[in-house]
Amino acid sequence: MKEGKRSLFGGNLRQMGMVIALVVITIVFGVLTKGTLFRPMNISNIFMQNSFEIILAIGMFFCMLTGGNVDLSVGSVVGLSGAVMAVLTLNYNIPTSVAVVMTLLTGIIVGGVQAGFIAFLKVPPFIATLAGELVCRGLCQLILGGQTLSPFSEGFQFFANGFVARNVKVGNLNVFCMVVFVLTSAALILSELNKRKNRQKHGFIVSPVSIMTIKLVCIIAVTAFILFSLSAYNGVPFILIVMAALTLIYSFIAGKTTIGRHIYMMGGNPNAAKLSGVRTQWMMFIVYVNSALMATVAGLAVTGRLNAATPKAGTGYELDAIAACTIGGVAGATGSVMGAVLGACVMAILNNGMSILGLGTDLQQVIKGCILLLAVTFDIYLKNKAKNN
Amino acid sequence: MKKLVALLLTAAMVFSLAACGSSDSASDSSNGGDSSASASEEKADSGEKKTIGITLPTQELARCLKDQEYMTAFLEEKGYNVDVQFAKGDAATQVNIIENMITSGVDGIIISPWDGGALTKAVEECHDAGIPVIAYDANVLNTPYIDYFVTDDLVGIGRQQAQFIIDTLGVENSDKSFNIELFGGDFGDASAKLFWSGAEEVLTPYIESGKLVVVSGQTDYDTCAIAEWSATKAQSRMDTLLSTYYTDKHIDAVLTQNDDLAAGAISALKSVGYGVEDMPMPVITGMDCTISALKSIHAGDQSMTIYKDIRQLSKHASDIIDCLIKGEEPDLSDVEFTTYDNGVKEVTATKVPSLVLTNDNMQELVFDSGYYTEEEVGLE
Amino acid sequence: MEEDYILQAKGVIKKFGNIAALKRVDLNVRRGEVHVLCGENGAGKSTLMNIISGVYPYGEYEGQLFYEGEECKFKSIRESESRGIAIIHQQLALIPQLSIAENIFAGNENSTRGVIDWGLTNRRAKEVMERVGLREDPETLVQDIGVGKQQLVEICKAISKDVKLLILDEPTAALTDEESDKLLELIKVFQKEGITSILITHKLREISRVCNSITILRDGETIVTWDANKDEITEDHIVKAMVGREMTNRFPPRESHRGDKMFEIRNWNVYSPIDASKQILKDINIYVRKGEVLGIAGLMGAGRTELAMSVFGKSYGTNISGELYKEGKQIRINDVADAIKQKIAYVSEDRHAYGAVANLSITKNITLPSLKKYVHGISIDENEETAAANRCKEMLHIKCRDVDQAISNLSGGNQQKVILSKWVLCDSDVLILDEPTRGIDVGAKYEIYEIVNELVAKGKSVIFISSDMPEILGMCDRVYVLNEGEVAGELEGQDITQVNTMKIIMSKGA
Repeated sequence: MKEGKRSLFGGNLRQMGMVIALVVITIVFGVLTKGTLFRPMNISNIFMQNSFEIILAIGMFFCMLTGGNVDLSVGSVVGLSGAVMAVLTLNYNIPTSVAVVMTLLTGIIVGGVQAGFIAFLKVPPFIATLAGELVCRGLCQLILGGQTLSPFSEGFQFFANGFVARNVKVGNLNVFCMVVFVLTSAALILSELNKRKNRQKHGFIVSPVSIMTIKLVCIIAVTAFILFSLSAYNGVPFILIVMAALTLIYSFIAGKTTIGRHIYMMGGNPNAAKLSGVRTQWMMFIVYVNSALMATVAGLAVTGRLNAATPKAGTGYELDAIAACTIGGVAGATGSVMGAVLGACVMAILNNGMSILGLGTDLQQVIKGCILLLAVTFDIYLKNKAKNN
Repeated sequence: MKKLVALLLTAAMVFSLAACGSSDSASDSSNGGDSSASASEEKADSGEKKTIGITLPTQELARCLKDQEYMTAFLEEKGYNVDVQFAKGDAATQVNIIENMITSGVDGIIISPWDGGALTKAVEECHDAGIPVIAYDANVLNTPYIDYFVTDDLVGIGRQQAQFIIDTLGVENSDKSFNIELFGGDFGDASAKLFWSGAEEVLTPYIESGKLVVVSGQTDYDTCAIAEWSATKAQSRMDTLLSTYYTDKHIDAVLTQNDDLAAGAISALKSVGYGVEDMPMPVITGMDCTISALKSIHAGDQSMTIYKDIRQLSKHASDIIDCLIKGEEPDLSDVEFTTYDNGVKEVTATKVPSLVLTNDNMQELVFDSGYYTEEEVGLE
Repeated sequence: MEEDYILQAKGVIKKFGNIAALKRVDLNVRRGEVHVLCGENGAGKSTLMNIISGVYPYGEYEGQLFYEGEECKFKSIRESESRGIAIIHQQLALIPQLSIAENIFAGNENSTRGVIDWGLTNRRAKEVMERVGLREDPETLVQDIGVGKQQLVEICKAISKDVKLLILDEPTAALTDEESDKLLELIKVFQKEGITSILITHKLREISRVCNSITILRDGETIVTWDANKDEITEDHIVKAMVGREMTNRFPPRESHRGDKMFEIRNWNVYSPIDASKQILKDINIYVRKGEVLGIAGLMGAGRTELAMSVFGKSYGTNISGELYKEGKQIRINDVADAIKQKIAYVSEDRHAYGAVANLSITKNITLPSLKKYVHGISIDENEETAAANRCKEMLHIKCRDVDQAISNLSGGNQQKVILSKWVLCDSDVLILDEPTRGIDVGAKYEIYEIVNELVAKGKSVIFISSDMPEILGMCDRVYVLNEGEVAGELEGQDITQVNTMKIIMSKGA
């Protein structure tokens, strides 16, 4: 019976549970905020206020995939990248695009140093990234001289705050939103049909047409709601496009490339992986450089949104990222980029909903912690049940 | 099945926790508690009442609680609902608060910034949504969308502090010279720099003529600034100054820009022996009228603090935002005003006069006016 | 009876699930003697000792144990220890980072109400150490002394508990000749002090020096017990008793067609990764032909796994030197990827640690080393992978619901087949199989033997490492016998018999 269910939904039972949880939480907060959560401006805000959650979750995903490892330095790297960006553009008058490239390079170098210690000198990732956290935070405050630096150019702000083709409208509808909606829906339908065809070609079982249709209808309905809401406000935020692109690219890497496969195997059993030819050291190295890179991108988003680089930017973000991944079902050799992103969405809705309700950050921490604990317990429960079967 | 139950439990738990949180705050709004109920709720009920959103930087400063108290009172008197939220000392949180207030449909916003440089986007969104917004106590920088800034006479405060030193020491009428050291606020604080300029105005002639001597030679703002207005950091700096320059000299005055800095300086001075008959405490200034400062003044350690007329400030803020919502030009006839450059425009700002508070007028200013009770300050 | 037996085991039976480790064991140990216990790997020696010492508590075995005349019903090691039974395992149970004294009294600290008296501890340690001839400072860390002395610390641990019956499991396996001699002397000294010893060993030399009685186990049964005073104990007698068994039809028939040399290892020397001065493998020279099944026999600790792993991409050891040749040409293998490229495969003896990635699917496990084959452009074609996995499932008769199952759900035998398929898919030329049928039921074993035969029929080479003598006999064309890191001998064709193999092993220690 259980096997039947799995193939019916064509995927992860855990992921299904994740989606249901997300829906439930959204509805709960929608009700508590008396609908404010669903207003177009707020839908737009949710994406823009929480872009860092999703970007950092994607980076953290690969770290956790290698088997219980984390990157504690991402919060500090967020702060550091903002600081570097600010100093380059405001103190040295370097053009924005050049400064962005230089900042990204800084992130990669910082990541490289950390990753080198972890992969080749065998320093436990927890310790190496803890050191990284302290060093980068110190550097951030040093570079900024303890002050907030602002403002940035229009071009830079567009990354975090801009909207695509905001004013191109037909009637009241934002054209770009409509275009995205049509393209996304078409892509979803085609990809499902394609997957189906491929499986049938090899003679594997496929889910009934009815289930596939229901699944597609649900996803398209949600997409429609989101895009029409965005259209009613300012259109598609540019950062949303960035997040979507990152999600797609990394999903592909994790699920369909040899590198992704090797990382999964490494997380499951590093010794067995090594004996099967996986270059485990290089995999660890790449994973941690990538995490720093994602943190840098997130830092650019955070800085752009505030239009200022502050010394305390990013404090505590690493814990949010780890929580997002854990809620999304990520563990050693388990989970997917989509799962991590869904977990980040849960965090985003929590952040936004609780902020609307005016709940203090203290209470917010308590609630987030409880949900994290519940998610983990649920995971362990599922694992035990599977073992006993 | 079990999975479903677990999910429902999660939902129930989240629901109840959040409902707890928001119902607590609903009952608190009239007491000026943590935060008040969602604006749209009462608006929907009464059908007409407008809402003002107020965001204050932190709950940890006593004055912010006073700001909340007075502003809420004045605005409710005018018939508004008030939604007060605290930014918990984080710039991004304050931006989120402002955005959420816009989404909830407030009619006006008063921002007391935690970080004035990080609010450009939030203020722009207010402008786009047609919501009037004013700055309170600290300016919002680098944006053309702030029209009014309610604050004290910033330069005047500095002048008052410096003048108090001059008067108390009797510099005018004396032949000898006096030793003085200077302590500034946070590096990035624009208001602090304005206080400083006022103090400089008063002190410079005396320094140039040699009647006042800054023994350490440290007179420019950046050298004298103390990060985050921290009392401990002020204490460290005072310790260093005393051991370097005052081993054989006596310090006569310390210009500390606020009460926390004063407290730090006093600790340092006491630890090397100041505060007794043959080594009296120098003249020490302050600002903000904190409870510990009042105690210190009463005990004779700190000499004065600046009593900011928060009532006046709140009143002006309420009046101005009220006018802006009604589409009228605010009437600033009962207060002096000036403009400050926020990087992009000259923002009209009030200059609400503050008062010098010493042990002599403490009874009148603090207790008789009801600002604090004697029990609160611990002086029966 | 008139004999004073300190320990008696009567009709002891121990089953693990359906497999009987001990079918029927009788053991009679006289007080004050040195009783030797002999038998092949898997004969049941360790299991019996575990029952006597309480590791397998009363209730988990059938039969009776008598200690000092009373029936014992030990529930834990502590109980047996408190009665004076101490066991020293082959694997030393010491904590290297702690001192000798701390290790001696580990779990048995000299404390009052939880507070340890260090002065007393060190004094008592010194006393005990004197008895065994250990002259170090009791505060020396265990990791700073050699294995021989560590062995003595273990013995100190035992005698500090007022031992009456001392059980030693292959105590000289890791010792030099000199250290072994000293140990045997010590056992004799203890004997004079009235301590009875049970000595598990295969070394004839040791047996002849200290043995008062000898019991031989085979396949979980007591075969014979001899008394040194009454019976003549010779090597031949011992060997025959240990191995003599019927060869049933356990192995599929095979025709052997051997070709040229496929893979050769010359002058192979390897040192320990933990202690770079300790040499693990010395001047190994072996080769395997096309279409040949080459056996590597020897006891545990002989260095067979170390040989395999050091050859397979330097996965074990430091200071590795020597040459490797494939089809006559010298090749360089610096890491596992190189080895795979050279079409060499290795199936580890420890499935859980080194073989399978447990919570991932059968498919993903099978395709891992040959992943490149399924990549089109930059993405992996999962459907092709699944198809390949299904082919393996059929070819090797892997019993599973479908290949997307997690590998951990399969039985040991099927997991092993999955791991083999990994390399079959790679089309490896040389497959090194390390204890491939360990922990697998008889039926699955047969299937694996068939797979091996099919592979060599196609011209592949299989290096078959095994501790199971009959398996070596039934499967191999040629056998190298490894002992203590060196090639002790080579047997071919008809000469491959259990007796010959045992002789080679035992003579090395002579």
